[in-house]
Amino acid sequence: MPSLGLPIYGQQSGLDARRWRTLEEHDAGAPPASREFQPGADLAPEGLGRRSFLQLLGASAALGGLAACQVPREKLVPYVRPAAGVVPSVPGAYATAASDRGYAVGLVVTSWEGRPTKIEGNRDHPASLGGTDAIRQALVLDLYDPARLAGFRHDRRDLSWGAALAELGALARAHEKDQGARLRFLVEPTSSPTLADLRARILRRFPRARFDAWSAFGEGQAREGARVAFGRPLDAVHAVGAADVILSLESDFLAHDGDPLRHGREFAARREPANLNRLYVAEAGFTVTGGAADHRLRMRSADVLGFARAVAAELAGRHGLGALAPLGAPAAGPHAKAAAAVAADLARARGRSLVLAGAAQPAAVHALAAAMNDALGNGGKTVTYRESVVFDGAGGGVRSRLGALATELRDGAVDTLVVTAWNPLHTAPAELGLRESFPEVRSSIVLAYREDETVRAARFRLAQAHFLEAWGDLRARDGTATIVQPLVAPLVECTTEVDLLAAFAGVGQLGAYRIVRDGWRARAGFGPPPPPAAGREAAASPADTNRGVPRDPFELRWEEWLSAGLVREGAPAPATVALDAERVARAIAAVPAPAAGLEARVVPDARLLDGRHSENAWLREFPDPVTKLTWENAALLSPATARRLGIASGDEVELARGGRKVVGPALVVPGHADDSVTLPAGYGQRVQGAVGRVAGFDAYPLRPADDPPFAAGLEARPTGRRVLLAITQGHFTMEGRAIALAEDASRLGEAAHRLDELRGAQPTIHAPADYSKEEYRWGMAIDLSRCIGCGACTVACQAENNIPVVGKDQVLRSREMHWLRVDRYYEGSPEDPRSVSQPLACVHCEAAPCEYVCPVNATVHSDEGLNEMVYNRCVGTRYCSNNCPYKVRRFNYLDYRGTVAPSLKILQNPDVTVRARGVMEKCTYCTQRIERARISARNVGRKIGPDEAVPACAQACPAEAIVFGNLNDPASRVSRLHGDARRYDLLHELGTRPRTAYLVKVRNPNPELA
Amino acid sequence: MSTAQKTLEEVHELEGPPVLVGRPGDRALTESLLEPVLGRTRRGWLLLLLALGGGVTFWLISLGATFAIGIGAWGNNIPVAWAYDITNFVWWIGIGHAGTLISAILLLFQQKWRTSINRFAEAMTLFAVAMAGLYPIIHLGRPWLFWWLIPYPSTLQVWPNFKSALPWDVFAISTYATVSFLFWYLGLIPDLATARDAARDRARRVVYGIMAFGWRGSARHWQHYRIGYLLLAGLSTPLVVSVHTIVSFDFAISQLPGWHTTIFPPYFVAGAIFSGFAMVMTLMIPARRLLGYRQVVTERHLENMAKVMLATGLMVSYGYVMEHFIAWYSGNAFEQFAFLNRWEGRYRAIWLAQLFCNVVAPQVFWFRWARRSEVVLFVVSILINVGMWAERFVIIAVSLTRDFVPSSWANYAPTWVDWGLLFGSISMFGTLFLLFLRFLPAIPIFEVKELRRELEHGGPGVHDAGPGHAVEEVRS
Amino acid sequence: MRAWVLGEFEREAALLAAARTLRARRAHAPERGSAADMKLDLHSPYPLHGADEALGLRRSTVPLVALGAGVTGALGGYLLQWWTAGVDWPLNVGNRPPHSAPAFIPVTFELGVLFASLAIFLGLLFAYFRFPRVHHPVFEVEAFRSASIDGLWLSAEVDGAQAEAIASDLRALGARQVSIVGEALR
Repeated sequence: MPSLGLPIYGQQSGLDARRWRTLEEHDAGAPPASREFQPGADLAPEGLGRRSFLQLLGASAALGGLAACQVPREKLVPYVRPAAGVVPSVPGAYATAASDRGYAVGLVVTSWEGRPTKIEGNRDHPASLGGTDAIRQALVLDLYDPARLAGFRHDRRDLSWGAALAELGALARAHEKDQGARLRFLVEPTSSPTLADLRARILRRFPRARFDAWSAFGEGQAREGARVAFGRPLDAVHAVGAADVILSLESDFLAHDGDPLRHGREFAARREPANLNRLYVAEAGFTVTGGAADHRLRMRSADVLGFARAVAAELAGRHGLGALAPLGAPAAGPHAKAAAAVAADLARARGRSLVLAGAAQPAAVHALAAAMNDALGNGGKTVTYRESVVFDGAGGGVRSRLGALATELRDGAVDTLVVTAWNPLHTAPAELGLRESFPEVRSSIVLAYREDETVRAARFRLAQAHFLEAWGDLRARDGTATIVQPLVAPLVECTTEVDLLAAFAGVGQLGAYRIVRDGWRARAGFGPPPPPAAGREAAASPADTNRGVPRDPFELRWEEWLSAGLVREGAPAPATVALDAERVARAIAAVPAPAAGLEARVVPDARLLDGRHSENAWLREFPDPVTKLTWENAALLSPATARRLGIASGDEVELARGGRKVVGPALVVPGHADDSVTLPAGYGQRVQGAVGRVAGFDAYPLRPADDPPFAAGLEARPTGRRVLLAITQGHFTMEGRAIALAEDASRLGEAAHRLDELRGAQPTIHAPADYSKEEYRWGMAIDLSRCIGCGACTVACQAENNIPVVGKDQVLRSREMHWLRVDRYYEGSPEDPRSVSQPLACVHCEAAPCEYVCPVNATVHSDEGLNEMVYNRCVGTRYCSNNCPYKVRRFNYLDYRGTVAPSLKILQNPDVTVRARGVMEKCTYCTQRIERARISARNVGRKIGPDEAVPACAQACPAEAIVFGNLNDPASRVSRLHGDARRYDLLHELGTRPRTAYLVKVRNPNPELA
Repeated sequence: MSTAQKTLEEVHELEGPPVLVGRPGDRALTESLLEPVLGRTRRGWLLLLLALGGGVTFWLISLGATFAIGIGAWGNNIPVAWAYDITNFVWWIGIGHAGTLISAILLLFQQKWRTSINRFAEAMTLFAVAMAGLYPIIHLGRPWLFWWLIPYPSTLQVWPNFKSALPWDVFAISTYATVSFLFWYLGLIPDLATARDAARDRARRVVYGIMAFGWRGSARHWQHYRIGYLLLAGLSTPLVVSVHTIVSFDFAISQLPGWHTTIFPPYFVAGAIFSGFAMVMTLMIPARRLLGYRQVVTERHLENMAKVMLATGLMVSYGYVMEHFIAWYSGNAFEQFAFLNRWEGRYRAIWLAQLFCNVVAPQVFWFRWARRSEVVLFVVSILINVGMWAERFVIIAVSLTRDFVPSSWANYAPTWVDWGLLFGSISMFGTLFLLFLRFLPAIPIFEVKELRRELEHGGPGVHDAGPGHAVEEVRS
Repeated sequence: MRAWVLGEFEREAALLAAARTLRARRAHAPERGSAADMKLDLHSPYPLHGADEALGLRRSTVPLVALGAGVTGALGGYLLQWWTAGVDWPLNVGNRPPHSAPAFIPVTFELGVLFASLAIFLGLLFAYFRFPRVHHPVFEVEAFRSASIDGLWLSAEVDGAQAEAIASDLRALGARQVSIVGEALR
């Protein structure tokens, strides 16, 4: 295959077989992976080989530069599980990391003969623990985006990398004379040690140059809060799992703030009746975290500080935490009772409680939260502080980050501006005037992945490599580092931030690989690298080990790092802190009292963040976890506010604030705070691709010039026009049906006998088929108590099963293809409801209504109990869908595949059939993964292990809410959950005997607030 | 005149208006009944054909779009995977049933008044079934594979699933189409011979001669012919009942609220006859005006058909009531919601239209004047056609919009292709019918002659009668 | 050489009477054996009541044919379903038993009806009527066209030598016009 230009990594990585064995056995209990095919495995290759070959052909046809791009000769080490090396048709898995607001999220990426197809979380990585979110799942789609930037242009001249490097070098030299006084860098906040080194080098060379860090929704306020409280900008690391009582001050810590994946895992573990925690969330918009709360206290973002102070006052007054006295202020208004109850709860759980503040909240709130945690004795128990490993420039709010640079640009004090931050012209507040001043910069250099506003305005444009094509490194919040290793040679002419900065540091010719590797050699305390030539050889040819040439000792360490995806060395220890209450008090006092009037909240979108994922079709079509809105954003507001303003869902509204106007659709969200409008940012960019152009409006103009990103004074009036919003769920109440059940922990006892009517055997004419003799009886259990409704499973399923994107108009016709949807139901008043999320895919009924109505036997039952869909037998009567009470079947109404760009075709998972027009499809329990497990088990004549066959949804779920396994194995987790007291069957009365069981969601409300 | 008039009044006294006006001689009768076939083309007929041609074009375009783009060209979605396609299918197949009923069941019951309209009705059946038969094929996601529903030893080695109602449909519809055609053609043979012999130009003689297979009215043939015809009628009768029963199974055997109902078979059959008679009426009233069939298709026929519509209309209404009662009585929340949704849901208007057209409108037929007024009959029969289409839409699509799991609820909106396939098929149906009226004897001539004998001599039996050259002719 | 003697009558009664007489002669006058192989037939635009009796036709066997075909169809239909679903490839479809009789009823019934109907139609046309036969000798007589419009005809297929005799008999029996079609003439 390499002839096609896609290198097959690992084949040339020359792994030491012995080390392999031990690791493999240790990890999967599998035998030594040998290079020859095992019996059974030798059937697949031709077919799959051919398939991959054709796909690669398609790819090379699409990407002209493909054949041209160089195969790096460096040596990569595959992740050690599950597959050894690369056997054709057996996917390899490699550890790497993606950046989430500068921090590492450890990933394991599946690669088919050099084609990355699926991203999964790295079980051992502290920021992932194996889980992933929708965004991380969707990143692989960007790699094959035919619209991504390629090549290097300077003033409309296309350059080779060599030429570009030369020009950059020249440019750098030109700045040496004035020590870089007119040289500026605008970068993303990042924790990369390599980039830190390069910055240091550059500043040594250009002492008067400066680095600024910018991203629209950073954690500046959090670190600023820490600076206020403890004198240094520290990162708070929250041990959510250790807390019995959690108060979130508008912190969406389950989906966005901090380490959401780790939080989700720890939080979910505390939602089982045995050891329930209790979560209070004070927030304006309805977030994933709010949905998981036991008590959700809706209030405008500006009122959160007031509420926090009320709690502090209660803690000080009633519960003797005198330290908080100067910070607290007695509550006035609707939430006084709540504040008292929350305080009491927190006080009862000293050292086992936790207060978190949201990234959007001002520094004072973060400081107050720190003070409360301090007073409650949570420090070191549920919250620890660490020296921030992220380079955040000046930190703080918008002004302190960009103010200086903006002024310099306006004054023409900058000759060369190097931008690696994402599209600042779109995200920076207009008051700073970047749009006007940036084009004036003599040489503006922008490194970007896609054409955007900033790229358009730049003189010197560099195409950025996807992180799956690039060498680099990142740290997690706790300092653990991960080497970012590429899985594929760049599909187009592109470069990396490392290479770009290296050019200014004067080491551009080394290349990212050498720079990263040598950097770590130094950090790990090894001697200077052997002379390049020798080093190259050592690295390049696997043969040398066999030739007995003494190996570079660093090599072993390096390989371990790469294969494990973790570097534990050099992780800073937790910081010891001392609270400065006065400063906190001053900071709180400095916060202006909340102004009256309609509040505008510009927030990072759940799918696009600040807009950087705007061109990702998977994310665009991924329904917002709360509103279920796809493809676009809308002004979210509460029913009461909507009534007051005379606005209905789908009305186009004109929103004006501070002389700026935007026009977009409104969407009424139950449970949203009154007098507040949430505006997800990132849509409606001035320069967009085919995907971004579909829909959405730009909310940034309404963002205040400085943090916090919310402020009162918004005016909203309907324009009279209507917008059709593509929402995948039209009906949010259960109509009193037993669909997604939730119960208070206290009433779980009574609930049990009611649940008995929703499970167990039912009278039936035909005796149920007996599966007890079978070796495997596959089944699934979904714990609604664990599920936080983030929707990662939906995108994971899409990536795994080649599920097409259908576009807004098709979603409007309710023809979305997601096999796995996450339903959301509201209970209680539309003003202030509670919500339940319910992932729903094919439940594989043992008496499946869909099967007996199919005229051509295209959907039948396997002897292991899978409800199988035979695509090439299906003629498309759609009778099965009509008769499916769960409506989980999806139909290819159009040829959703024929239009896919060739480059995207090589993204397809070769294990999964690509469905044609007119064919029905649905969840298969990832039967291809079951078969893979079966093959590897059969090869050595053992049974499939308990966690060996894991569907994509279960694998991705950060909360481990989805469990899959063999119901005939009493030891398996799934059979235990099927026997759980909270287990019930969806639509049990129909007698379909679903293989997917649900577990009732448990709520733990505070009796004092009942 | 005198004799004819006299008998006319007598008959009036006895059994309302006559089933045959006047006593034309056989030759005269033959000439008048073959006039539309052997005579010259009428302008009105041409214009009508042209008008329908437009509709047919629309139909063809819609079909093309369906095949080229896929079912996605329609408004169907998930959950509403069946909508106009199956609605049209059930509607057409229902319409077809009246033809078989008239020609078969009424024949068995020796209903004299059936005679003049049966072929007309059979032709309607044939064309309606042709239209209906189209939808099960084009509604497939992969229509080019429709034959996978037929059991044959395929390389896939898979057989159809006979537990599904769709293969039942395949057999029911194809059998129904075949038998209807055989029945219709068998009835045509003697009249084709008549046309052959009455035709003056060679072309017609040859064509009709071939189509008549060489029928020579031999008594030895008549003997087998009559028994065979009667047997076909006897077979068609349970067949027609079975076909719509099976069609109703498509829904009854599922478990969707609004579909899962045991009352469907009788209720569907009644509905079928209801809509079928309405369609016969819709076609017959203009036809008897334009083609001068007044003497053979009399007020009596219209009145009896009106009565049948009234009766079946009441049965259908009973079905509606029963559905609601069962929904309430069963205590099944899903079922109850499905029926509440008809009254309060988004498609309320269609449901109310259905009630008006199918329940309210036919009640005028309690009055004789309504049963005898062509205008009222025509209007009401049109209303019933609309109403029965609405009924099928409400049952099929509206039930699908709201089923068990609320999160999957969605609404349905048709596209221009959906409309094209509905109105296009109506135009195609009309076109086929016009061609039938022009080229085939629409009234069974030999049966009318036989009827005339029976009327003159009080039923069958040997009697001394001639072809009646002597008797004066009364033409309308 | 065979010949067909055709006679048209005014009234049904006369026609039937003539038929009866000729039959009687054939039966009771064996010495005129030539008439013995005479084949009588009547032609009318609509079925004549009493024609069967006049010609002494036996009861039609069409019902038996229909019954046989119907039973065959139904049986075959059920066997087809039983074998394909229950024997050749039994599948677990919605936990229904592979061979489930109730579900097989519709197809069984439909196939029964289909076979019976086809048997009747094809049987009549090709077995009983021996169709297609568009050049039957009786069509040689132009006047015979009335047979499908308003004419009542009697046809006797006899040995050529007997033709004249039968013709005169027919005239005697009141035929309006009589004509003879001989094979030679065709």
